[in-house]
Amino acid sequence: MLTLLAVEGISALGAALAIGLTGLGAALGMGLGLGRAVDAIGRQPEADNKIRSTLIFGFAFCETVAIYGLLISILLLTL
Amino acid sequence: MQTMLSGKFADFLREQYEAAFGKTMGETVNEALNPESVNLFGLQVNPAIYTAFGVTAFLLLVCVLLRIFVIPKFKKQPKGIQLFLEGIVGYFDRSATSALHRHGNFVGPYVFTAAAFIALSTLVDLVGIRPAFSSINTCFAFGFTTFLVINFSGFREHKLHRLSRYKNPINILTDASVALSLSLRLFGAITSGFIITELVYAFIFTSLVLPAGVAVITTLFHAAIQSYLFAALTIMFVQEAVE
Amino acid sequence: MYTTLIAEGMPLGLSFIEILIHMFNLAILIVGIRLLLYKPVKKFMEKRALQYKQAEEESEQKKKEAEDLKLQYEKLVEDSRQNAITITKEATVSAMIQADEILENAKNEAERRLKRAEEEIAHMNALHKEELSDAVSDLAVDMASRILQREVKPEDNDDIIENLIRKWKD
Repeated sequence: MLTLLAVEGISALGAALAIGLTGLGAALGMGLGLGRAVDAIGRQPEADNKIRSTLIFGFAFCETVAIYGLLISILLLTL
Repeated sequence: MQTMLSGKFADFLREQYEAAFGKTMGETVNEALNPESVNLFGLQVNPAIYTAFGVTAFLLLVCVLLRIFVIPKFKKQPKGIQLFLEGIVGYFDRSATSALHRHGNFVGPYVFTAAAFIALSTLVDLVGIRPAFSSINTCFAFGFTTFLVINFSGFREHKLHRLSRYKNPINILTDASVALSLSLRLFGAITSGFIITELVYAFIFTSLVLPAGVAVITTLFHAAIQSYLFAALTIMFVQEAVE
Repeated sequence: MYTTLIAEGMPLGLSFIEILIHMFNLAILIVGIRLLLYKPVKKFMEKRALQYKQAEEESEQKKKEAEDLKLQYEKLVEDSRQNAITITKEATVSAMIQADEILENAKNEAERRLKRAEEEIAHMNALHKEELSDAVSDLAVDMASRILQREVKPEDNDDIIENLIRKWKD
C-alpha cells in the first residue's frame, strides 16, 4: 500500500515535471522565435509570407517537444 | 495507522469520483492508449487499423470517382473541384520538384498521399471514430516508409557512395532518429489530441458545448499542421539525402 | 496462431506485423492515388501549360508576321509614292522639254517665215525699183528726145508732167 502510494505520488510528480519543463522550454522557444519573426516582419514587411511559413515550421518543432512531454506525462500517469 | 487512513481516504475519493462521473480519468486515458484488441483474420490488432483501412478505401473510392466523373471533364479554366484538385496537386508537385528535380516524380505522390491520409485519418476524430495515428504502429509505419524513401532516393542519386557517410557512426543515429522523430511526433500530437477529446467526451457535463471548441484545437489544427509538417519534413530530408 | 508474433510486453501495443500491414496499406494507397489522381491531374496541367505556351508562341509568331507584313506594305506604299513623285517629275520635265521644243520650233518656223516674207518683200522691192528705174530711164529718154525736137515751154513742161502723171496713174 505504502509503496504503491509512493509510486503513484512520485509518478505524478514526474508527470508534472515532464509537462511543466517541456512546456517551459517550448514556450520560451516559441516566444523567442515569434519575437524575432515580428522583428523581421517589421524590418521587411514584403517578406511576411516567407517568414510566416518558416515561423509555423519552427512552431511545429517547438510544439513537438511539448507534445513529447505531454505524452510522457500521460504515460506516467496511466501505466 | 496514518498511512492506512490516507490510503482509505484516497480509495474513498476514487469511489466518489467513479460514482459521480462513471469511469475514472485514468481508465479513460488507458482505454484511449491501449484499446481492446480486435480480431483481424486471426490476428489481434489495434482497432485503429480499421480506421486506416477505411480511410484508404474511402480515398481510393474518391479517386476512382474523380477519375471517372471529374477528370475527363476538366476544362481549361478550372472551377470548383478542378480548382481544388489542381491546387493541391500543383502545390505538392511544385514543392517536390523544385527541391528534388527528378526525384520529385517519386516523392511528390508519396508526400501527397501521406498528407491526405494523415489529414483525413485525423479528421475522422470529429465524428467520433478513433484516428489511425492513435496506434503507434501506424506512426512507425509512416516513419519507416519515409526512412525507406529517403534511403531509396539517396542510393539512387549517389549509388553506393552513400555508404561512405556511415564512416562516421553518428550518422547511423541521425538517420534512425529522423524516422523515429517523425513517427513519434505524429503519434504524440495526434494521440494527445485524441486523449483530450476522449476526456472531454467521457464526462457528461463537459461533452455539451466544449467539444466544439476543443475539437478545433486538438483535431482540426493538428490534422492540418501534422500533415503539412510531415510532407515538408519528408521533402527536406530527401533533399538533404540527394544533394 | 499468429498471436505469438505480438510481443505481449511491448509498450503501447507495438507490433511489427501491424507495422507491416500499415506499410502495405500505405503502399497500396500511394500506388492508387498516383495512378488515379496525381498523374492524370498533373498530365492535364502540363498539357494545358504546353497548349498555352504553344498558343502564345503562335500568336507571337503571327504578330511578328503581321508586323513584317505591315512593314512590307508600308514600304510598298512609300515606294509607290516615290514612284508617283518620280513619274510626275519626269512627266513635268519631259512636258516642259517638249513645250520648249514646240516653242522653239514655232519660233524657228516663225523666224523662217518672217525671213521668207522679208526676202519676198525685198525681191518685190527690187523688182519695183527696177521697173521704176526703167520707167524713169524711159521718161528721161522721152524728155531728152522732146527737148531735142523743140524748145521746152512751161506749158509743155506742165503738159509733159501731166501726161507723165496720167501715164503713171494707169
